[in-house]
Amino acid sequence: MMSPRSIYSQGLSARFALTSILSLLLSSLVVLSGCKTKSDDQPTPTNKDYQVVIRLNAKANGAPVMMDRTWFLNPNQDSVLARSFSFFISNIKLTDTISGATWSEADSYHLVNFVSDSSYVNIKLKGVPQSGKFNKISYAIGVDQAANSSSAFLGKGDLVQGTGMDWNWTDGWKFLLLEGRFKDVSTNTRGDLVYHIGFNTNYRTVTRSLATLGDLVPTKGSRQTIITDVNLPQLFAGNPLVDVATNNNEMGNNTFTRQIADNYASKAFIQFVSLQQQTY
Amino acid sequence: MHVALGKYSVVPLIVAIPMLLLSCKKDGAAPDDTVQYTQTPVTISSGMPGYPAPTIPSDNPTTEEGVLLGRTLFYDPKLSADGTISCASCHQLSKGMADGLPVSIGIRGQRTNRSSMPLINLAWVNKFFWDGRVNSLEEQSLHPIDNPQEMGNSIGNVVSYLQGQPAYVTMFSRAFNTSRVNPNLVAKAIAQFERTLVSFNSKYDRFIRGQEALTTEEAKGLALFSQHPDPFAGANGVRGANCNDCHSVGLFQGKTTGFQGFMNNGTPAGAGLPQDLGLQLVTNQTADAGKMRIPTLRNIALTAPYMHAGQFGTLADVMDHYNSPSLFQKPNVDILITSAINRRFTTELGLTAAEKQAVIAFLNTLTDTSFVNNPAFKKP
Repeated sequence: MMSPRSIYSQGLSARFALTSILSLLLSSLVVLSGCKTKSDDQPTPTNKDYQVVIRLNAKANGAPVMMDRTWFLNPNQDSVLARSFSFFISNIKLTDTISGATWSEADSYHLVNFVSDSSYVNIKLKGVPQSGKFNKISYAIGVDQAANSSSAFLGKGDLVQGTGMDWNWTDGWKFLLLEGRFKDVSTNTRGDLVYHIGFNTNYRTVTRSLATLGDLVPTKGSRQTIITDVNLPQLFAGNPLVDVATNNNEMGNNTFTRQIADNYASKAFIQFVSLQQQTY
Repeated sequence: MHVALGKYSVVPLIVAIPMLLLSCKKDGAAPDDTVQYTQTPVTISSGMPGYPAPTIPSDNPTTEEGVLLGRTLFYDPKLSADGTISCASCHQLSKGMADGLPVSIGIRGQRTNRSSMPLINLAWVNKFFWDGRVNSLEEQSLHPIDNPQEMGNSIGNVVSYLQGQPAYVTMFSRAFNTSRVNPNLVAKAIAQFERTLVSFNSKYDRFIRGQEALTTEEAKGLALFSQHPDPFAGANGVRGANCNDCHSVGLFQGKTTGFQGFMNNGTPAGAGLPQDLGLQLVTNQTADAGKMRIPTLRNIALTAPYMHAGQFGTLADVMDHYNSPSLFQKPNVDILITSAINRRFTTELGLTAAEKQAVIAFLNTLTDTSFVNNPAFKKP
């Protein structure tokens, strides 16, 4: 009996046969490669680890804002185009004001980073207990002093390098970053807008009732999404209003950046809109 | 050994044809690939706390067997149409995995229109090529093969060639448990090898790990590198070279979310080339005109000339570009450039000669000699 190898080792004709078969096979492969779908390469996403999601919609005057695409008017009636907009939401706590039960997220440092092809960002709360019922949320904008002053917190949550939010190579974070362009209609001035807001004095904590949305009841097999609007024009609020032609390049620790910090701590900056429940 | 090679290379072809003609079959063992190999996992890591995690596709885990195959493919000029150009022709280890040329040269001496990108820490990159037209290393790895200016071949020819090489067929079996070579597996293997090209052992890294000190000039350079200048801060302002705004300290590259890691830095057109639209070619958005991927600065001293068409020969030329008084007037140049001034009411970065030199001294600390001498990255 001949082994398969010995059959195909017999002379030229057999080798030509093999070449033909190979060619046929290869052309089949090429043709059939068109059948491949994207799903072959990507695992089916699973969200079962996250029962509670906060959706942050970038908005201006009621309309969605896309990075580097959407101009909007700020309260001073200047036109602003955000090229990059990101900020830290941190130290998230949920409370049931009736029972007094509180849940605090571990390593709670979420980078909200808007990209040009979407006007919203989802942040996923990890480890919310399924037995809870919550009607109040508290969070901070920025990074708390402990994490902002020590490299020991590197790697916790979204405190990772390479996001453009680190000031330098050791410690310290930008709490909020807004980069773009402006057109000042009254003076016909155009220019660049760069706000990098950081420093411990600009860390702000916020507590908000969720009662008007209905109780947040994390449940296995369902996803609760807290829908919020992030109102970019609100960053330019105050008395006096922010005049981008005057303050277009701000990254220090001063009264102007504290005004921005007060703005991002205001109720009008992150508005809680609704609570959606989705069963999966 | 030899017999086994023959068995595994020939028989499955016969069996595979009817099967392939009937259905789209995912990668996997053909019925006659009776020998199942176990792959040894390879961990890709920066080893640095606080650095982002690498992205490894779930359907292409890195294994020793896949990496060896990918490395062999990477160095094989027979992947090109005339057998003269391998991946390694334009990505040379001694040159920081670039080629030292303004633009890369393909088969028959053809000059392409862009510079070879250094292949460093690619598991931390989300968009590939200067214009970001590809989303995965697997997809990227096949593009040069059928680019007429580069390797000028077809992936069909490459698969045909590989299938006819018993040593390759064995490597495919060991890496992927199939003796049937296909384009997807070629891509996966090359991508696996490329992900191992990790560089986190420069003088800078040893400084961060507390193992080595920077010189005074290097430390001054790092401080300048990291600082966005603010001439209005305090009485004297804060001076900075503003590099960190784009080449974020750590990975020293752009952001890896969407196209955020693409910027227009005002680089002029390459010699004899039209102005390159960069990211606009991918997004069709005029706002993206001239934006290019912000590459890592790791091993930057080895990868001259610089920019997407090798416009600048030395790091000093690059510093002069960023310091040029005319840069702010270039069309669509990024706001992080035009917002960075060291003296009030000027329209230039305004670094001194000593400051530029300090930044260059720091950039030289990003050279990782253990990377360029790593035997695991050399031709097998």
